[in-house]
Amino acid sequence: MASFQTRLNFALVFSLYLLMSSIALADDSTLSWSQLNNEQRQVLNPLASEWDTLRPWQREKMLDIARDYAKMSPAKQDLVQKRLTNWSRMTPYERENARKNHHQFQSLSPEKKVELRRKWMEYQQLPESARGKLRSESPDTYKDADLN
Amino acid sequence: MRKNKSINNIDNDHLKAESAADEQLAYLASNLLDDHAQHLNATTLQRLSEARALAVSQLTASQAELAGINQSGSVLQWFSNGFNRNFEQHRMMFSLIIVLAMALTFFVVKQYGVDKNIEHSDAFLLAAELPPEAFADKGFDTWLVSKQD
Repeated sequence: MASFQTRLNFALVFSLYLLMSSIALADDSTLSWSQLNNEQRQVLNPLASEWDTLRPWQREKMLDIARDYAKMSPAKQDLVQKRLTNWSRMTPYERENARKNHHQFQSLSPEKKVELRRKWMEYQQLPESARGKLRSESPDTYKDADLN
Repeated sequence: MRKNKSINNIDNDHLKAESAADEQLAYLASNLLDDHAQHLNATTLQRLSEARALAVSQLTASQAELAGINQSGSVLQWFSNGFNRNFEQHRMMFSLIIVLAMALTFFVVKQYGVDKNIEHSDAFLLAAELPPEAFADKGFDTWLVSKQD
């Protein structure tokens, strides 16, 4: 039979574990703009005006971007800043499609990547009506359950 | 049957004779030691006395432990008692080891998870050679397929 002190000790250890878990899994997704730290606000500055209207899961994704931003070169950081606003305004469907295609793009050879960049520029030269027609011809490949 | 019985009787007699001889030998050895003990100096006698006391206390402890097993009838309980005694003695050390192990596991897993997913994070998508619109535009996919055809 364990003594009272032993049981108290186990309770203490378990409480410490719970405390550590809660710290590690602290939910940042409900932070308002004013609650973000300086570094996060600097990275996410293009979203300042609309941050408080974002949904928790959107904020969480944006905070992930702010976290990884510091690990990038200045040139890439500049690209992130320029593209962040458009990214935040995309629908979950579009973002999921982008993630899937980006994943495939990463596995391409450098030559294929250059070719794809050239084709993207060529595609952008098409009139908006033609691009709209192409979009409407594309089959939907995602269901609601796939979106976050 | 009778033959087997007589063999058993012979074995028993033999064992009894051996046991009696051992006892006789032990008695002689004991007397011999007692005689010589009269001539030992005080220091040696003191050391012998202390050694005897130690041996007796160890024997008593082991017999008490065995008696505990017999009373409870559970070897597992005996192991449990041993563990509890060790645990009581090193409680702080056990606690510290458990907390450190949990903390280490937690942060290693967390760090590993972050590093593993970093190349697939949205930040790297935004910094890619193509803008996110290129990856998201369904029309671009359709156009690429039509160009291949």
